[in-house]
Amino acid sequence: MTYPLSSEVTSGQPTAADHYNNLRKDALYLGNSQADSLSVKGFLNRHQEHMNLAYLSSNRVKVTFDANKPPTIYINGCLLQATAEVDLAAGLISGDAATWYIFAVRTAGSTVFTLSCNTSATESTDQRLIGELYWDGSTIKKTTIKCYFELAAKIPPADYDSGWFAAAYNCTYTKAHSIGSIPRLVVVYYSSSSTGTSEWVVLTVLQNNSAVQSPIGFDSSSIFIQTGAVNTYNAAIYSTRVQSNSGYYRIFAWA
Amino acid sequence: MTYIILKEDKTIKTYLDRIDDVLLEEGETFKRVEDTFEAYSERFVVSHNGVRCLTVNSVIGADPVLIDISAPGYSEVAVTVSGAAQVIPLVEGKGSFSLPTDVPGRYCVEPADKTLFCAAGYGSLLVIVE
Repeated sequence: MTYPLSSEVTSGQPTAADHYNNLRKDALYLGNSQADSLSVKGFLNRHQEHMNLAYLSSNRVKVTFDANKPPTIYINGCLLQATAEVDLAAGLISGDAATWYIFAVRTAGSTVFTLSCNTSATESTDQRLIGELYWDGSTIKKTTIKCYFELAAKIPPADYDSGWFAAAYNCTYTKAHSIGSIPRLVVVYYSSSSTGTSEWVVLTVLQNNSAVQSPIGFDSSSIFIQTGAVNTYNAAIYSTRVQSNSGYYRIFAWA
Repeated sequence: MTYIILKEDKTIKTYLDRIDDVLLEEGETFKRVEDTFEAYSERFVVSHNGVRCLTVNSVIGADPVLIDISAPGYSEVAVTVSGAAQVIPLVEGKGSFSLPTDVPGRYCVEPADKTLFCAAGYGSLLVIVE
């Protein structure tokens, strides 16, 4: 296929129908026939790049910004690109606990986009659905923030995230992961901080009395962590980085 | 809000900020408190030199290990050191005591009343003297 089909014209040269049609075909179908190619608009219809949602505050999220990879999205025929972080306005997410859906919004006269939200996932004109989160009635649950456009080349967000919970000796913690099958990957992290602000250490072994044993198991419905039986050993984690008989665990699992 | 998981004997097993994924063991129950997870974790804290949750390793004959206790709102709190109870007076919710190092051993400091305070998380500290 020759591309472009059209050629330059000189000043005063009559423009023939074929020339115009080739030009149109170049513009709409990259020189192909309509039967062989979507139009550029049709092709870009669901296009986006570098879109990522992140927690901003208890009732707000944002689209993060990287000048080298600016968030870009095609909405209602318009090519839009952020020039800075895009924040969801305060006060939009409120009321009873619910899943809220986040939309990128086009505004006439602007080449950037803004954010809106709704408990319905239905897009309206000038909106593109980009993600969701869970509001528990008082705050956004950070671990539920999901952008539908996470890059496939990245490790995707875990299908199950327990959040941090307190751990002690002689306990079995059983968590329903809701994945529906045996997870392909389960990782348990330990932190000596309830908020995970201290170093995260992968939990692999702990002390069960003086024996060093692995405490993690899982099946198609649950993940199990069984801490060491005695509090005078490192019953919560036994690592060259951290040793302790108590602390905080957080579980991630992928389908 | 924070969810408290209680063992069959009503002692506190753990606490967390979601309950929908928890499978309770036989006899366990849960209750809900309005505190945030972070606030609840500060109700009872055992530490050494400002460090929490990390096992303290000492040697025989070294300086006694200073253990700090924090329980905001309380004027005293009972702790056990490997099962032996002692009451620690608190000033503005904070107090301390020294753990001698003249006898080798493994000592766990935790709340004496585990129906009131949780040994999980910041609630216990292991000291090894050898």
